[in-house]
Amino acid sequence: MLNLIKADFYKLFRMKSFYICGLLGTALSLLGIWAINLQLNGLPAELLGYSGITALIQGLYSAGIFYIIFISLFIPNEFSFGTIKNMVSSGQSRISIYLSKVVIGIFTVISYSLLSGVASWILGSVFWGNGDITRDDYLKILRMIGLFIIAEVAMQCIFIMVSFVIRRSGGAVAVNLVITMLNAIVFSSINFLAYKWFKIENFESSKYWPSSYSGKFLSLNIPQEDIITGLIVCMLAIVIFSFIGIFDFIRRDIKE
Amino acid sequence: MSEYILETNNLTKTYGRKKALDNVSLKIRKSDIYGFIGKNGAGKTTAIKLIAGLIKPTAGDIKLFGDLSLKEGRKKIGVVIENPAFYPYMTARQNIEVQRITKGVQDATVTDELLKVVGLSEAENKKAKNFSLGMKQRLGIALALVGDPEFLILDEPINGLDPTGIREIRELIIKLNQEVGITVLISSHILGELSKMCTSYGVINEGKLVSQITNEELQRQVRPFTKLTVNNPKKATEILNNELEIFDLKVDGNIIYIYDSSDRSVEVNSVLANNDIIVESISKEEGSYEDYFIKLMQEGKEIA
Repeated sequence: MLNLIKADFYKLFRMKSFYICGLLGTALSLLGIWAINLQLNGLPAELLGYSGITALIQGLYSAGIFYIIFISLFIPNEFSFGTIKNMVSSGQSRISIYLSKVVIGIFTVISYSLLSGVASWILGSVFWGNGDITRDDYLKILRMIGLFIIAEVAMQCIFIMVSFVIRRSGGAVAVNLVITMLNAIVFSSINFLAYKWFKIENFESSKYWPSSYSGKFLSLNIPQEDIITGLIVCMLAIVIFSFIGIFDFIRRDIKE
Repeated sequence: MSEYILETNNLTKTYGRKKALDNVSLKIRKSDIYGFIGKNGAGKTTAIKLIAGLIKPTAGDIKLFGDLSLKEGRKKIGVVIENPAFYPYMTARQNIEVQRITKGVQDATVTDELLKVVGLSEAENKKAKNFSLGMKQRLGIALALVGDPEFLILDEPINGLDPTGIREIRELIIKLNQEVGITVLISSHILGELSKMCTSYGVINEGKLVSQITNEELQRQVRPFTKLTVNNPKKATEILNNELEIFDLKVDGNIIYIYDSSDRSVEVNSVLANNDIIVESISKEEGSYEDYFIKLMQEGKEIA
């Protein structure tokens, strides 16, 4: 499996889209910060709640869509180029092939988030300063980044599963984007149906979906309950969706 | 170790109600160049995909290197299925590097050697998407050769190539077989071309293996012959045996086929006429690979 991971990294670093997606995510975040700074027009940013940390949060968040797009290209490309045949026919196990892509998925989440986050933090700090950051704050920032990345990795495992199931980049990009965009509608529908059919009041289906925690974790003061629930939901999502993806990949023929 | 590199036993694959492959039992000996012949849709690619592990059989089993456990066996094979598969945004060198890393081959000089073997050294830094079809095929073969496979499976490697490209691939396959000792399974429907390199053949039609023959047998079947139409074939055969010492012949009704590379039609005609045999027609004919294989397919004789 180590050889597959090495080969996947070799491919990754030679794909233009890896750099383009990463830089676009970062550029978009920086553009947003620059636009906010223009709107502030000399108003005291600190009083309005803007600082390097808020820029960091924006940077982390805005990278998301780009690693969805990238992974939706990277995995289906193996099927459309036919190179998945080279891997399978050379005796590599399908589980290893799948898990190697999960490693690449995790790497893109971390690299894009950090690139966009750090660049945004630097620009935000230049515009608005950082205020007084204590050692404790730095630890909270690290915790925030770590938890956010775990939540995004859990979502990435869903996107990887979709990419393996659909096997076509256009379809995978479309479905994965729809998954991220229709969250709110789907959750409110589930909550409504839970009440209508089962008389469950105040049901929060979003509590069981990892992307909800991406937002909740982007704060320096996260309630302990959210951390525990979020980590359990994310870990379960990683295991369950990877299992489904692997099961489907093992079971299905490679006809491409 | 088994004398066969590949054995399939009643290999069957169905898609819905359609049998893409029906109880196929292939046997490929070590050091063979095995031509897998059949028209489009006959089941060649399905069989190869089953051997390569891309699809799962509905029934039957596969032995690679005499072993039913295919995981290790597949590490010793190289496969090019349908179109050669590579990363178009990478160069030939980078594509081979990916395969080398995937297979865990430590020796980096392998890449240079393979580029040389397939004749892509001068194009090593050209993006694969800009390659001609022949170059793509050669790159596909180079990828399949990473890791020193003992058994090379090539699915329609000469499809769409011009005569020069076909000759290059043929020479490469023969070289790999004779100099490196690689056993080759090559599928194609270009029968004449396969006959220039293969040592044995399997003919597949509508998912069924209709014949497995050696090259010697094939050459015997398609060698030139003299075709005679006579009024008394029994007596004519005796005369041919006794007076002209021609024994390699076949009688089919009033027609006698004489398999002899030398043209003795004038002599045959004269001797038969002197013995009161009426020769209605006599002609020298070349054996045709196409005709022979089409006949085999039509007969549809399944080998158990």
